[in-house]
Amino acid sequence: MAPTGPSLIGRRMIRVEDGPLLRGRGRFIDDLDIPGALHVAFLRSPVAHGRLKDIDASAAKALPGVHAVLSFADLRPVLTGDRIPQALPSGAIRFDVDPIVLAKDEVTYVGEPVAMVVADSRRVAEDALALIALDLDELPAVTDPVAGLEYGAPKARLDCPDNLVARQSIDYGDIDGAFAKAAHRIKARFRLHKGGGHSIETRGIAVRIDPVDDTLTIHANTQLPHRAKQILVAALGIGEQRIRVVAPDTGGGFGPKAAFHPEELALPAAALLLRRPLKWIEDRRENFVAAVGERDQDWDMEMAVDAGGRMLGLRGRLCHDHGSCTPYGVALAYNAGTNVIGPYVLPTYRLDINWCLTNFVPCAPTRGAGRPQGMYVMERLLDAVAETVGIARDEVRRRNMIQPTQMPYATPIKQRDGSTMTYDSGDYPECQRRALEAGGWADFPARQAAARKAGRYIGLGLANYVEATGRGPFESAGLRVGASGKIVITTGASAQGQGTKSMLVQLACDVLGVAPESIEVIAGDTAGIALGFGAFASRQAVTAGNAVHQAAIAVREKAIQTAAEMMEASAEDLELKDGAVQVKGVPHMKRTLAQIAHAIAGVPGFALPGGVTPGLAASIDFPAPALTYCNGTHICEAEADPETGMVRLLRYIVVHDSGRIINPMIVDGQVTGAVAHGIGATLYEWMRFDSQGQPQTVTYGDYILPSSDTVPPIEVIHMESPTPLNPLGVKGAAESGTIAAPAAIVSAVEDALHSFGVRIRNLPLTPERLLASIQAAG
Amino acid sequence: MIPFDLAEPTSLAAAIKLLNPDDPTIRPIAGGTALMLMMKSGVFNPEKLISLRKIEGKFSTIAADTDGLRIGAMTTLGALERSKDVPKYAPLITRTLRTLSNVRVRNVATIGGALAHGDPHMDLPPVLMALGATLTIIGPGGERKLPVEELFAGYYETVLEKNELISEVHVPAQGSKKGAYFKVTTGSADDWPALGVAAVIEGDAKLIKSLRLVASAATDKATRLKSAEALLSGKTVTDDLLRQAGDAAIADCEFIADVRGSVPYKRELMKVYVRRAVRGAMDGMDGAH
Amino acid sequence: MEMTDKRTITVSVNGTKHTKEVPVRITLADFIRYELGLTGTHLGCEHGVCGACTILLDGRSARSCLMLAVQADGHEVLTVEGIAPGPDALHPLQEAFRDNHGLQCGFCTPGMLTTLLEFLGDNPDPTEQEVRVAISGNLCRCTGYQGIVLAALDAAKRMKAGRA
Repeated sequence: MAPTGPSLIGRRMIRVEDGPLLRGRGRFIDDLDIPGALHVAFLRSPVAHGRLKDIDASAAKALPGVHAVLSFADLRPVLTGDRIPQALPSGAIRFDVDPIVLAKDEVTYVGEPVAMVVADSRRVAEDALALIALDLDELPAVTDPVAGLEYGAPKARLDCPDNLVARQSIDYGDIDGAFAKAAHRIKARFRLHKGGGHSIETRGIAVRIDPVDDTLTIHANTQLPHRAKQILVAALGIGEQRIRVVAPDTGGGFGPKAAFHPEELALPAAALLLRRPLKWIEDRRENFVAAVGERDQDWDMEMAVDAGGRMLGLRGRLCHDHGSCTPYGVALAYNAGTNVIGPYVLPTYRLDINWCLTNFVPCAPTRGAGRPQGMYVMERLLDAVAETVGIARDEVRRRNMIQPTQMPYATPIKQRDGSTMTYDSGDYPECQRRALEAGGWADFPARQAAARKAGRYIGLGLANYVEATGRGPFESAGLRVGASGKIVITTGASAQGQGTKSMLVQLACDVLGVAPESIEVIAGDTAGIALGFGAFASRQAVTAGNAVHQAAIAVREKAIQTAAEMMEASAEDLELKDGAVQVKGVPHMKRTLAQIAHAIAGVPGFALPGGVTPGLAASIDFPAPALTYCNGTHICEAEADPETGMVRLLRYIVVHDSGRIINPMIVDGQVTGAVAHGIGATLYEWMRFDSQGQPQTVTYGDYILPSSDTVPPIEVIHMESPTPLNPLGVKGAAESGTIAAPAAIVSAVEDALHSFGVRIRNLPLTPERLLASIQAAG
Repeated sequence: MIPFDLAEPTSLAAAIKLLNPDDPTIRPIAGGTALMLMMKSGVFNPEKLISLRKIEGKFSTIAADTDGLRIGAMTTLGALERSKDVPKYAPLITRTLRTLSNVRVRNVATIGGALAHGDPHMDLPPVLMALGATLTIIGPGGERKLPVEELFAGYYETVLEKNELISEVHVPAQGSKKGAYFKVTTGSADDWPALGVAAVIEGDAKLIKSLRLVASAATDKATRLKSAEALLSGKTVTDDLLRQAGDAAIADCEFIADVRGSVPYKRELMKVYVRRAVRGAMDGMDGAH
Repeated sequence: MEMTDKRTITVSVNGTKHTKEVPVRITLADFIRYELGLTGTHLGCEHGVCGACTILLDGRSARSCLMLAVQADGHEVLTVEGIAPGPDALHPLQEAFRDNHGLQCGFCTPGMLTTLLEFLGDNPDPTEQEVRVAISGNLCRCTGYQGIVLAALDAAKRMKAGRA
């Protein structure tokens, strides 16, 4: 049934994706039955650092069912260079260490792909892996980023003169003057770990090679199909028209599926060599050791405030664990550094960021992309300021907050592209006020005292955040009404579970007044649309959403104009309703979209009605020159057990402002999912290695993800401050829930254990670490 | 998983004949919940598995009388959990099962397998030890009885010969004894525990006549806390006494470090949880976290 | 080529009997997915923790990634494809997932549905906390579990109404 009446924007609509997924009829990468496909398994480095001298695959090649065992030297003839051309430039980079398809003469982390077996089945391919002999000379490994930058540290890569792979600084205002006049200076050091993406579906690639068309089709659950294609074109040196990258249903992304991994080149290259279709599905252990993710940051910081707790300046150093190469540029630590300021006025700031090469799997953003760490540093310091100055935690934040009258607020920070980081809209004090009210902040001391009498230690935490969303430069969308009446939307946006297709359908239905069932969305297919990006930086509602919205408006205008010609009526007297252009108030006098589309599809030898251009369609590349900033406040209630260090979360409240909301159900789901991700990063998730760089947590028995009984009920309250930067007024929503969670939870735990004087700095906050903090404070 | 052969004998006697005391690559498989994991990760690479799923049905039954429970070794933990007899004779077992891993493991794992695996992180071994359960073990030479307490020889080690199988678990009726099993999971409730403490106590509201205290997970094997038991037996319980018992328990244990905690941290947990488990048993409380 | 022992097994899946010769080392999950082509049962971790591969074996939940296919010989398996009453209808549990945004990427969903089907059969009127414990062995990285818990509670109501 076609929705009618007032705007659909802001309405809760069920998703178009759900039907097949609920019936087990999703089409995920491992569900695709590729005719004749051979199966690939990767031999991976068993050591963190070593010189690769020889690969003896003779026994593996002799195993029945094995078609090939390939190393770097085998693949190199079909590649344009030794390294994978990533093309994410930055002046901050001292050494270019683009990844390599298979290790050439050096292995630099446990899990690095060294050789690939191609066999009749995955089982046989794995049997063959055990028969390959590697001749390796083990080298000293860099397993700590701070130690890795010290004089005399071993080199993480033999081809780099030292481990400082990149450096950046953020520097504005008279920092020395600020510290000279400060009433209080607060120093703190933070060692912040953040774990991996851990989509429940691992990575996977299937390559079809068509000998008739001489084309390669790469099915991969990537967040960025167009970028993957661009890299493949450059790395394989073959024309755009011969490569198609298409993402099937994808079981979660969260960042790691945005980076281009070596396997994504190894399979197409091997398919070209062997002229056979190939398939590789990552197993979970491989995902732990070889999929990119975030890891450690060491922040050594000092804040200067006046007697009233107003910030005067912040300075310090950030040492970032980069891993052994650069798969996705150098944005991660810079995001962390720029996001420190959050919703606050920070008059002076100096941060030196040092990126250290280590012998671990390379780092790249996971949901939140460094911002949770940056916000954590600011919020922990503000709690310390409140304590030092003797004011409440909410008051110290109010005193430092950017006021709505200051919007748009140009921060003194320069972004990656050199432009000024400018907050476009939002009411931060009101957001915090609503959160405090919903969280029962004023009454909490009484509840806390009562609980204390009953032997329980409960605490309430508070944290704010701001997030840059909707990163450009653009996203593409095409909308076409076929002569059948079916509407097809194509877009460079891609979907990993965010409800991207539903969001686009809702926007198109809103303009065209058609039923959701009449629209099909093709997302994440380079054959669907020539240019595009995909999913990163909470951007698709902003960029693809506005593109589809504008394309739908263009199609509506064209439909009315054409119908006016067809019906010999005036366009002003017509309206688009229920899938047809009708005379206002006379519903039976109409032309359906199908009829209109048919009319301007053209008939040989006849002119189009009224001289309109052919096709009931429009294409829009929506440019997003400036980022739009969403914001919010988190309140967390936690209970701590001072005898064991165990923490339980009791309640969680989010007041969230992502501008105008398209579908509140989907936004709620994005926020609660991201909060759970933040809870994991705070309390449970810890990818551990030993001092030789051997991973210690490669199962979900040892690497703990948040579960339904450790994530509390989450209450989401929406504020809507539309951004002036795009016609829909929307901002991104998908990552922000992660950003304040670590700070809010830790603030709650400190509050619960206030009588012990506990100071928490490092993440994750495991029970053992908390007990140690309690004992250290006592 | 590497290739292996599978035998599916239809009797326990036939299964025992297929086992070889000198060949560690031949192993029995019951529910397989633990063994399959070891095989998939390559920790264990069998040449041949002897499946016990098709042996006589009597080894999957639960019988109850005033003497207690006789549980066939192939009984799944799910069947044990849903049994109407178990809560009558050993309510501590029913309560423990509710948070033992999760339902899809309990539906497949067997009580015999949970014991024979010798994994110190399992919840049932300390509970069965605290309840004073005994095993019937069948080998080529016939049958023998063994207290569960004497089954474990070390980390993933038991005293079972490679051609012996547990056929039955006998759990004496709990009667008026009070029991509690408290465990610490650092993640979700079905996460592997960092520590488990089982307490079964005979006494009244304040006085402990006798008790059995058993720790697991933090230790190399399920371990009776005999020093703590000696301190508490025949005493009226006070906070101070419980604190002393917690300290004493440390000496009874061989602690192991893992991602859930270092040895010093697990010692701290032991001190706290000995106290909580005894208190919990006396107050009739369940325990998790 | 498979140098491995083989067995002929007969397994009923979603009411249809299948007799096939399989290598003894293949898991029930691989049998369902690759031999029968029922790809709704997903593999998330292959070590029994994530719960995506949960199927019902004779009505009871089990991890198909940690069972051998031969272990299902002579038994009845229900997978996610067998939950809906027909091609045009959804089970009330599936409807509740759709209406409460109980799924995002949908990868964990098959295991959530099978787990809850068993749970709601045993416990038709659960509390929120009971639901949270029931699915604590099923990992979801998208939803924060909120929509799933709401869906389970809603499903319990719908299923009760359906029986009334």
